[in-house]
Amino acid sequence: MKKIIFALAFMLMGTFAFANISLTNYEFSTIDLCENEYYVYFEGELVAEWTEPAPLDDDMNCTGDARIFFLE
Amino acid sequence: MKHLFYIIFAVFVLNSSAQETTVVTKVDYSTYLNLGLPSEIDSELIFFKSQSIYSKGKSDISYPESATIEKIGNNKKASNIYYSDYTNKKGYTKKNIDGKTYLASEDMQKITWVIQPKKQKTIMGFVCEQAVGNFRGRKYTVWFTSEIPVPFGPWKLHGLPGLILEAKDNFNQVHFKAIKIEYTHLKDPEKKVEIPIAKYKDISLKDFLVLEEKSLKDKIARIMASKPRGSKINNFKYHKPKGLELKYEWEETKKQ
Repeated sequence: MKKIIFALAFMLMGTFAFANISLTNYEFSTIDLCENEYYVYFEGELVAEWTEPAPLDDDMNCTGDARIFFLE
Repeated sequence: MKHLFYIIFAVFVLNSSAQETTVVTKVDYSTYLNLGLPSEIDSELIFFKSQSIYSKGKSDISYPESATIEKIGNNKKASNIYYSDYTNKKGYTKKNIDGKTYLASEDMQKITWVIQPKKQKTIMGFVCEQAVGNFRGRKYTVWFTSEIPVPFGPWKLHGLPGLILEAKDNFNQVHFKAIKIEYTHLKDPEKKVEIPIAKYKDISLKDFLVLEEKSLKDKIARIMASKPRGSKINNFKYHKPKGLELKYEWEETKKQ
């Protein structure tokens, strides 16, 4: 019984973690996790943006992320 | 009665002669800017005789939660300050580029305001009238009070028969709003609003903007160069920063 509860809890955590990844990348990326997206802001204004291919993890999943630089 | 008190104070400030301490008016503004990322900025305006100093203070940027954030540079000391000198009709912006402080000078631009006396509202107990005017590519709707009869306002907005207490632009990107007015006693008010011409490198605003953009491009290039070897950069786009001023007079002249 304990094992089943642990397995269910583990699955649930996995679901949340996945949901979090999707949310994490929603606002700034095209949800194309195969690209890293870069944004540079200067005084609150977007001044440059570019993308680059994202590396794959051990399971061959894309690990794309959005990264924002603030020039102060 | 309260307003009569303020008028006496304002007149006193403008006409006061050298005394041990002089009462100077300080106006705190809350500034909302949204040029991409929304931010709230505290700022203050101090005026004395024909000069004013407007300084930007703490800035609260709404950083997106959905990305990795990296701040580059430490510009804490570089808070922007704008001086206006009505006697010589000159404006000066004190700003840093790469750790070096510049004083960018410009001729004060005359803003042609259209006053709408029928449109009134009260801000912090002051009766304000509405005026509309264009300044460097934005159309501002402002509220000014004749109860404080000085031509000053937040940032570079000026030239009305009363202090500007609120200003909004037509793109809903800029909003200044006075939140506090106080009267402080200063021993040497001239020093507070004194323009530090001798202290910093004097440069025209036009040349300053060129330098600032060059520095910005260099910083972007450095970020890109810091990527691991073999990184393939795609879809690069550079957006020239516009800030609050979308169009300058010399750009208009060039087109003619």
